[in-house]
Amino acid sequence: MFKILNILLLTTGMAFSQSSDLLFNDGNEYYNNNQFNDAIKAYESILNKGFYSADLYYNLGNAYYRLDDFANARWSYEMGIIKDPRNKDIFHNLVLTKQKIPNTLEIPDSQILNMINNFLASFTYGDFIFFSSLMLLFYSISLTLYRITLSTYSVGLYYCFMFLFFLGTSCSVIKFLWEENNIFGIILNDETQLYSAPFLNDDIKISLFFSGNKVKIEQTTDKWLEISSMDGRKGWIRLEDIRTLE
Amino acid sequence: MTRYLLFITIFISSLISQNIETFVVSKNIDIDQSFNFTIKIKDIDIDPEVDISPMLDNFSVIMGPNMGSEYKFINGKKSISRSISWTIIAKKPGQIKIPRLEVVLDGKQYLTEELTMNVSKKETDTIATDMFLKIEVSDSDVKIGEQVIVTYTFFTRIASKVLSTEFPKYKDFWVEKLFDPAGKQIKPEAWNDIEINGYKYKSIKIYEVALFPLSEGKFDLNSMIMKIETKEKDPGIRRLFWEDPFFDTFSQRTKARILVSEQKTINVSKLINKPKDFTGAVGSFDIMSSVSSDIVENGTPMTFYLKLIGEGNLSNIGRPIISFPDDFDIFDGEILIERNITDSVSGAITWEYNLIPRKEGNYIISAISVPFFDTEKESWNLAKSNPIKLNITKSAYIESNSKDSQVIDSKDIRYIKLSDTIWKTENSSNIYNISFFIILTSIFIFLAPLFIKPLNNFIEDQSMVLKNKSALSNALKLLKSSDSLYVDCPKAIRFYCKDKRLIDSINFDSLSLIGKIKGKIKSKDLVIVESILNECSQYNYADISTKDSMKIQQKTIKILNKIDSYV
Repeated sequence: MFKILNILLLTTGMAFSQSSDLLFNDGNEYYNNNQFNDAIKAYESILNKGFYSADLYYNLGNAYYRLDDFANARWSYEMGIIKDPRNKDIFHNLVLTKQKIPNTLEIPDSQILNMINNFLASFTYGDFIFFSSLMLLFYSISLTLYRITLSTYSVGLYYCFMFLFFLGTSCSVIKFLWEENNIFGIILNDETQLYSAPFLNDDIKISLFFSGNKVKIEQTTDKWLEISSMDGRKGWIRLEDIRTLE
Repeated sequence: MTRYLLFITIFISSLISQNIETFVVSKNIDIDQSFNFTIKIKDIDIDPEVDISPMLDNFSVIMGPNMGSEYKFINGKKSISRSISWTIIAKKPGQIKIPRLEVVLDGKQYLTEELTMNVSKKETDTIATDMFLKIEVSDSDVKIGEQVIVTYTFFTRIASKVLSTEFPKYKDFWVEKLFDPAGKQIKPEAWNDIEINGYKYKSIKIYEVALFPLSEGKFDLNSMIMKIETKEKDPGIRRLFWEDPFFDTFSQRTKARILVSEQKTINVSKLINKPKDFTGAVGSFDIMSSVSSDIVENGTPMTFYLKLIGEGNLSNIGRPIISFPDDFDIFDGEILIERNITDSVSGAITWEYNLIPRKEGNYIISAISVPFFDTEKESWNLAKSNPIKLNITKSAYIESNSKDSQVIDSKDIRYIKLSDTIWKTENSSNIYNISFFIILTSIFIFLAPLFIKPLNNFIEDQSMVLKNKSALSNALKLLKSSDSLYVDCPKAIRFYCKDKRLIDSINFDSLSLIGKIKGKIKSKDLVIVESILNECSQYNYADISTKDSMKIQQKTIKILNKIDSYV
């Protein structure tokens, strides 16, 4: 019974990934022929099926960029960076896209924070977990070696791997907490209205946001999102005005 | 039914409304003449509540409300009426209406009748009056945004005390108060002596404002109303003594008087041929620009200050749009307005711009021009600042850390990925599976020492059992394959005893071996084993025939089989 179920799952999974490959190739074909709208449709349909890859987000971002939809292009590149933080091509295109977005709000650089942020942003949560588990393995081997040989060389290795294991574990925890508590989104609509409460009322309008800006999502309801921006503004916007980075 | 009820309600209210009367002593009054306005309600014995706010635009209340009751007995029938009255004064000349006012009686609402008053403009005859209010307007024909200073001065020839003042309100103007007596103690030296038409007056500035028109049109400035208390000689009291000052107080009486300032009109015309970058400055201005630091590191925030100094509508000027170099991020900063304490008319407005340079190099913030309407020259003018040179130096940190700077020079995005990609889903992540496997392995390695010792013991036990079982066959194999039976028979016995755990080691001599196995095998068998061992040691180095050696072999096999049957 389990065997049949496994085979079924495997075959359907393969079928889906094959159709994703076809759609991806179609999207690339459309892109090559400057049919960027069709390319976006093909790429987005892969995402709607639940499949993703850093390359897909990269290509999708490029298609949006070519249509001057810099808000969606930024969203795609930011998603690509989340999935593959050390992808230089995505980073390159993201920087160029940010330059195209008017009225962008970015936090001024801070030397120490930047170093920490750059380090944490260069790896995914999975990378840290993998590193920690590998260090745990080396740590356990070096401990066993020490028990057998009782050599000082083994003690050195043992402490070194133990430190790296705890470092990796700490980074994983920090990264996990950061990802849990910091969900961001990209404003999609030009002149998105910020309200002080989740209601459509002229009296509670606070200010305007422009498309392409990255904001932090504080809480959500069915139709509204509470956001805070890099310049300290906080309020509610409608769900259709934003695309979340998760 | 509902219709009838509605009709009855309307009928009753109309009957009651007929019992509400409004009246004034005279409908023809002068601008500075106060009069009584009374509302009388018949056949009612409760205090009415009246909302007079609708009439306050055109009239000012000097005194009131005063309540009154009137009881009448006609043919033995008692009738009661209530009245409520105010002493009011008109704020402007012309035909002014006292609107219908809402009267609340026992929770029900009624409306009074409308009255029209003819208010005539009285020419101020300063010669005849012993006190008056004077209004001075700096300019009555101005442009939008041009400053108009309005000053109210009180002149008097007799001892007087200001009871209350109603300051005018100015619609359609941005108002800056230049002098407001509220909360200030007027000192005797603040009064000025002035002679008008041969009469000596004392004068004092009561109120001064700077008005900035916001739209074009003709605007009437409301009058200022002051209630004054004076002491005047009572002609009805004859003096009992000659000009004795001590008794003079008897011949004086206190009198309240109302003073109303003259009404002025200001004509405001619009500004024509406005420059494109006009942000509302009207007056006379000069401009200065500066930066917090002209040598800064790339990425370090700095502030650019633009200061407009002069006389005019400082509060109504919009932030000028400045074209800074492209490599700067610009954020609007604070706006600071400073008023000159001495005249309160001139001052300065400073706009701050927060700049963050993003690329090193030498930059120039070009001269900034702010157009304004010069009220002195009655024409457009331009306030122009000096250009500012900036030196943006390299930032060591950005140089080494910012990946952005490497990308900035690139003009186009990189091309799409055409090769096959590895698809992932939310649930599929190999890295977690691998990590889980590694962690399990590590845990196993950690715990391995705990399992090794019992495992060794187990293996040892198993091997002992196997040896025990195969002890006889091993001994027999040795005997059958032996070339020297006198050597191998004791050896086979030793190995057998060792495998059967009768002895710990095979390295025992014959006597020690007998001693060790004594009690573990039967006495008869022990004697046979001892004889075999002795015989073998005896003939070990002697040349004995094969027939004898075969005997000893058979004897050994026989005794080992016998011992094995019960050990």
